[in-house]
Amino acid sequence: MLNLIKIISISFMLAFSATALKADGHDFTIFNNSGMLTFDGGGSDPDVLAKVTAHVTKLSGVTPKVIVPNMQDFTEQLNLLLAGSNPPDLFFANWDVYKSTLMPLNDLLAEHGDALLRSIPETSWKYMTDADGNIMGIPRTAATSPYITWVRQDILDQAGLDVPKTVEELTAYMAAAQKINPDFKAGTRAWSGNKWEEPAMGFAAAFTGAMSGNAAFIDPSDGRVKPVPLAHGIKDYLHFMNDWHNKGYWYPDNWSKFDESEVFRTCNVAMWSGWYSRVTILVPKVESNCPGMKYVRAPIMGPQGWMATTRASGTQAYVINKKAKNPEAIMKYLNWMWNDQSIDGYATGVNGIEGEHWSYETKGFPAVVNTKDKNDTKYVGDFGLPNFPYEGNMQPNDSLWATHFNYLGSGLTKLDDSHQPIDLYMAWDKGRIADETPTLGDIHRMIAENFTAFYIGERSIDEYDEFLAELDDAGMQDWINAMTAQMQESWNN
Amino acid sequence: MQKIWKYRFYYYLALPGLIYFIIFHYVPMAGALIAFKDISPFDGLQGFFDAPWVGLKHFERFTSSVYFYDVIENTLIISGLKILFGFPAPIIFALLLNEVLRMSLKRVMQTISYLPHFISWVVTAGMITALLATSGGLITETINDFTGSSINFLGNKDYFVGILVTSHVWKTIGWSSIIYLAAMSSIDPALYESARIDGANRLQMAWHITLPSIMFVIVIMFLLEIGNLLEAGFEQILLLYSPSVYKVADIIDTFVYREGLLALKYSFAAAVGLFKAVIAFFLLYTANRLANRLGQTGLW
Repeated sequence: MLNLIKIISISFMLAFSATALKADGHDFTIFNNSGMLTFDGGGSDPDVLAKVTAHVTKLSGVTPKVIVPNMQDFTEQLNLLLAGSNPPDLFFANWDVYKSTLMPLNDLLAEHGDALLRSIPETSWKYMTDADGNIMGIPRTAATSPYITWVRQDILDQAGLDVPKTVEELTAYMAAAQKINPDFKAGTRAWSGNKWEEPAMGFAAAFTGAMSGNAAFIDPSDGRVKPVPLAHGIKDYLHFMNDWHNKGYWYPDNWSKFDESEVFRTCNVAMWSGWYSRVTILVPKVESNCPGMKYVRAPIMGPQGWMATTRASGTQAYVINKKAKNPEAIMKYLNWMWNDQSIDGYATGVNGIEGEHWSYETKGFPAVVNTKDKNDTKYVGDFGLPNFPYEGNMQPNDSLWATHFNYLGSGLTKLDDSHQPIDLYMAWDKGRIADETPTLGDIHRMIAENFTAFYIGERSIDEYDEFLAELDDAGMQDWINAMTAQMQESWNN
Repeated sequence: MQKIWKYRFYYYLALPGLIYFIIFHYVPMAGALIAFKDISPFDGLQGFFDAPWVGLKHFERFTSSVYFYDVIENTLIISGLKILFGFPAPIIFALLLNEVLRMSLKRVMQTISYLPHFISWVVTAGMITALLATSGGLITETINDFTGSSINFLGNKDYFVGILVTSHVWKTIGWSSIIYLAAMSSIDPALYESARIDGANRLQMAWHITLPSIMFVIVIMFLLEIGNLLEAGFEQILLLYSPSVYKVADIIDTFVYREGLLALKYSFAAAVGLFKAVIAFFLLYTANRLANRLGQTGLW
């Protein structure tokens, strides 16, 4: 009987506290599609998560509830959630694409966002403002150079070579690597959805000198913004890709299904050209099985400039749904998460409860923290919202993560060996481009499909001009007009 | 009315099912209206009413796509091949199982064959990718050891459709055979007795007794398959395809996924969905009429 009374009393207290929080406007939902849970999509243990939730509520004064992405494509899940009856209040997105569903943040930032305003670089805020002066999101990143080429020092040593500096030297390196072990191959960013420009980011820039957030360049002959298939040097690029394919340097899976985690496990990736974290996060997890394997960054220069391209911070942002019932609570949470006085909020969101899941080795900016394996803590960082360069302030005292966080604090913002794109300080309205180019989907598919065919020799590069005519027939001029108009508006502003 | 009252308990039994179909299958049909409007998915119900009418704009956009005929052709080919190989497979499997005399062996075989049905396509696609990866894939590496050449199965147009059909048959053969086994269990054993006395062997009994006795189920299942002719296996293809094989693998649903769902053009996605539904209705209607004319049991 006593137990029953206890249970009823506790239930009442819980119900009351939940109601009180709700009544005070403290609760909100986060769809954590920030990338934090990409490799831990299963989420945390429910009991541990409940404890961390209570801890986060105690420290931040608000009660976030996290929706863990569990579909293969986070964008699809976000779109479905937004169209549903309980859309998330806070999520990560390009604000220009989702503008119609977002809340301007000017007043909220002024009232509750002082610490985060100081924490995030001024240059990143540039891309957050629409034509009417509304701040539409909180920047997720700063200008970086994330598409990097890496080679292996152990192979260089065996072959007696220096770190390659040119495309030719890189080719010589691959030839030497395959002499040492025929299974050594080159990996690059696999096709992801229809983002055809991703694998082209590196090598295409080196051969064409033309890369931007829209994979475009300004044609000097008429001053118009054109997609990279029209760039000078594009055929050289395709010949290079095809040559590497014929020599067996590329993983064939680069052009179909490329499971990066599994391939790195084989210890045979001699060169990686793509998103930096595949080396800074995946490699430390597998290198104990690959004695001697050590990757070094190789700044490569092509005929038309650097292979790496600076990536503008752009419109990627944490954004607040205009239907959010408690936007003040969200801003208070973010102000706690990216605070310029202490990294308590960020470290808690990523690691869990201080003293139980992690501890400070040294406090400050950056702070060094002792973390535990997430398999042991059973908390995978549901509340953590990475924000570059702020996240560099937390340096884990953990060999598995040290490489990554050291790189965030140094290599990622090293821009002097990367190509500066034409739109570094401009935010494209990609939604408008899509509206003004009704056949954009067809064009994207056409490029993805045909570029792949050119790489693997299924279509002869001699037919490239025919391919361009096909693009024209599919409506490429609409795309050029839309991009050119936006670029000119940007200049006029 | 009197009859309804007399059989009211049967109607009570049917009521939950009826309510389910009204709420989840008929009421949402009103949503097909968005195919003729330009809605923003984030404007909620109000947007549904306020969005401007655009007539057949989204249908025209679909039919004017460079890839319209490609995706229709791929859908029909993949779906047709799945029917060609996947439809008779469970019937043959059920016939074979029906001939197994030892019950314990039959149960083990049934259980093993049902298992793939419970594995999601995400896991199945992961297994296929792991088996066929050019680096470390079990099948690819084995072929490589024997022939010295490495085949990128998932990036090769010549193999891709075969992989789709094979994995579809593997995943569905056991589960789909249940309905045929159930139909076989209702066949009068006296028919087999008589045939045995007349000297019929097992093959003759299967051909002249089992198969004709389950023909009505086969026809109904075939009609349902025809109704799903434009469903070529969205999830399976989405998880396995890439630009290398778009030419043979891009189907209506994957096209809509890229153009409609990822690009937030829900009206366009609804228009294509409606287009598919209308075609599927006519296919089903024609197949049903044909079945009736041939003297077989139809759906109505």
